[in-house]
Amino acid sequence: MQDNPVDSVTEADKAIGTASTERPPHLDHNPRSRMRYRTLGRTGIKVSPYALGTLMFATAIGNPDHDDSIRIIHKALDVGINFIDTADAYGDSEEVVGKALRGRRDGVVLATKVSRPMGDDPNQQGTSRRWIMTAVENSLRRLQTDHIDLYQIQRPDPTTDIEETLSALSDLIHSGRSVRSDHPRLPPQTSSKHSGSPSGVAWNGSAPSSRPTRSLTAASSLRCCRSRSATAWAYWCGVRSGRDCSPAVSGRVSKRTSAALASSRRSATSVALTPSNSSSHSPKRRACR
Amino acid sequence: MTHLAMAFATTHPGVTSALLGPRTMEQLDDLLVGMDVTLTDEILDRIDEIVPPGTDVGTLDQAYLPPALQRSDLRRRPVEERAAV
Repeated sequence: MQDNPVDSVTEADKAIGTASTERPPHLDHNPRSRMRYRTLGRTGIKVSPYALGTLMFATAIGNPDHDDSIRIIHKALDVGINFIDTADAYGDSEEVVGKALRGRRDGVVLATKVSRPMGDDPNQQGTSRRWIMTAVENSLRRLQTDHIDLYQIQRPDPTTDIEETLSALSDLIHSGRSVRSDHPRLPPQTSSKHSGSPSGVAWNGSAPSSRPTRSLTAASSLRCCRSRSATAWAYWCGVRSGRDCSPAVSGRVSKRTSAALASSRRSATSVALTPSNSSSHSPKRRACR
Repeated sequence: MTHLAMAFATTHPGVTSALLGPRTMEQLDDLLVGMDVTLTDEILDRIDEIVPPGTDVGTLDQAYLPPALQRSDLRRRPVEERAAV
């Protein structure tokens, strides 16, 4: 492997270097000027190719030292990683992330999840509107923030109608608590019936074609592409690529930017996504026994 | 190996970003060293030979198992309804 990475990186670095000569000098020392950020789906949100997972912070199987975990998070941010993924069910991980992001929240694309059991209460799990609306507030409090950039359904909940879940996620976006939602693990037969999408809510509707299918066999699971080794879990945390999948749309929606809300709705219309309450476009429900 | 794993995942055009999962600073530092790794087509071809595309190598974290795979009655009509005529 002595010549392969070097050559290609060098070529790319030259291009970057050319561009960077026009930048203010201080940017040359900014690690973010080197990171090749990628667009998350078609959201316009740029994320680093490496994201920081937080399952190993403040969980039963993870690092028990909160301060050490925070230092690790800061180190990742310092090198240009701007994408952090956590979950309500990851022990105290959300609290640790919240502490670490004090004063640095705006530079981070923050993802968390809902669905796994959070206690003995049978209603403190799954994807019912009832639980999602409570769980998101709990996550916001633990994360010490007023919005979540990517809110994910960690596990499918066959006991909840998908319309119920998607409309709740859509409402979160419209209320400003979530910028974008994703339903990464819908069973294929479910997601394929829902070709229309509430604005900003996305899921995997079709199988990626061509090479992606090595580990993406289920297609509906964003996280099924995972390589595991001693210290790294590398699994797919991105959203569908524009090339392989049907459109996903999102707009930055917050209480502060009602104009953006209107804009995002227009963009949603332009790619034929439909509002969740549009009964005329709702997929016909089949009787399931 | 961790560098290979991260590079392999992020090489895929369908993958926007892959997760690091460090527990210690040492693990993070090691993972960050691999950020500039580029896998050549030759290496990717070799990986394709070892693990052919389409192979499902990780079922551990897949939470959804279709009910019809678990219950045979969901795959079968009642005996009296099976014939076409």
